[in-house]
Amino acid sequence: MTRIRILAVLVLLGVTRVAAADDAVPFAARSGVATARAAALSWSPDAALVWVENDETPGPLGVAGRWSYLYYSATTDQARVYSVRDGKILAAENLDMKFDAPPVADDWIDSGSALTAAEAAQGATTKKAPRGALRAMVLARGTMDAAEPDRTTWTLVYSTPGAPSVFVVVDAASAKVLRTWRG
Amino acid sequence: MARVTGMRPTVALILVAALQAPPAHAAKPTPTATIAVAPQAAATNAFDPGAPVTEITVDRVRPVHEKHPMLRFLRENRDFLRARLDLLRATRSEHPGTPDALDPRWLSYQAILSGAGAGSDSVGAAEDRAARRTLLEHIGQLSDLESELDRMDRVLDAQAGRLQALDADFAGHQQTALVILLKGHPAALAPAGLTIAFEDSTVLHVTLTQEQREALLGGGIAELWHGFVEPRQQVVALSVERGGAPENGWMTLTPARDQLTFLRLDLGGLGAGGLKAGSWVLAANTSLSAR
Repeated sequence: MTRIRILAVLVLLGVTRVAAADDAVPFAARSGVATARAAALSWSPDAALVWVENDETPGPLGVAGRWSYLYYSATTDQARVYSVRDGKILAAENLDMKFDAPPVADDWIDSGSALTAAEAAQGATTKKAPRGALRAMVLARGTMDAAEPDRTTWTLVYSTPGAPSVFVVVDAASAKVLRTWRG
Repeated sequence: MARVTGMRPTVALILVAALQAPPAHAAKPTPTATIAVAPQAAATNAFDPGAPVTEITVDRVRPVHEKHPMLRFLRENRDFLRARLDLLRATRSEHPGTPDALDPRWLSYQAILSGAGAGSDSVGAAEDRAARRTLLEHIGQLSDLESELDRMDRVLDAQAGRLQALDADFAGHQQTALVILLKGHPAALAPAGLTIAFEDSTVLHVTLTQEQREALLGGGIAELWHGFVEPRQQVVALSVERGGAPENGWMTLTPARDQLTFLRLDLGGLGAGGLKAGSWVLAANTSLSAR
């Protein structure tokens, strides 16, 4: 009986170790930019960051285990994405669609600040109508805020099964919530 | 001084000159054809014998890596986002001329140019004045001449500062780069050329000249390419053309970020034990400058 218990403990320890080794250390979006940029500039010297999106579920502090950084080259009219995990580029590929988006501004707030702003502004509303789980965080310029096409924004997407998603757009310069809608 | 041990100085200079040239960009490959006959270097790392050479397995079939999903939101909403980009482009074309923020460095370069021009003007004028003053016999004016020379020194110091700023912006940072070297030669059949394909769609076609083949046969090393690469694990495809069916191989390579990595291809085992390859990173304290 004792042997079985010891064996069970060892098996559990082994499983835990495997799980721990597979888990990436979550990080805020800006931490991965330098890694992605180093690769993007080798791909094309005029590569400009146009899109940032979480590849793994974002945590409560606006951190994720993996982020994607999309770069666009006006010279080649191509876009290439780099997925960063644990400080390294896990995957890279050319985007299979035309995506000539404008570059994001340099001084954008990090994903943690964007989430804090969204949560703070939407606290009361959330109590009335829960927004669901945070599914996506996207940094872009122009595409999510038609009124101010030059503005770089964070868009946070909350989803609940069987209900429309909630979109919260945060100004990436001032951390002010600009819009919230369901769709 | 270049740290090239066991090589003739001429050979070392050729290799150093080739490495000091700006690397070709991955998007615009320009294969170089520098050949250096260096039999002594064939058995070891030609540039830093102390650096550990990592043997790279050349697979016969392309290795399959796990696919990682990326940009889910963008792909799920691609039609909506494409429409927004079209709208954005139309909006921008209605309001052209919206200024973008300039990189302050570009503005500082104009100041640097102006400063350099003013410096050389003042040096020229000072030289004229100095030439005239040599005609004067009055010993008291020697002090003026000395002050002019001091001023020239200051101008030179300022120029050195400007050069340092430019060096920091353009030459002081090593980007991730790769140098592909070729060694070995199958005695039976000389390769006509090689094709090297990177994952970012860059494809290099290298045709070996007769001179290069003879150099390889003599134990030399050829530099096939020097360019920027992505600092990540990637599969590099190699195809050696030998008249009949090409011999293909795939290498998994991880160039170190912001460092110069060497990839050495060895054709010695071509047709028998297969292709061989090794890589190493240029040691950080290694100087490539030849004096």
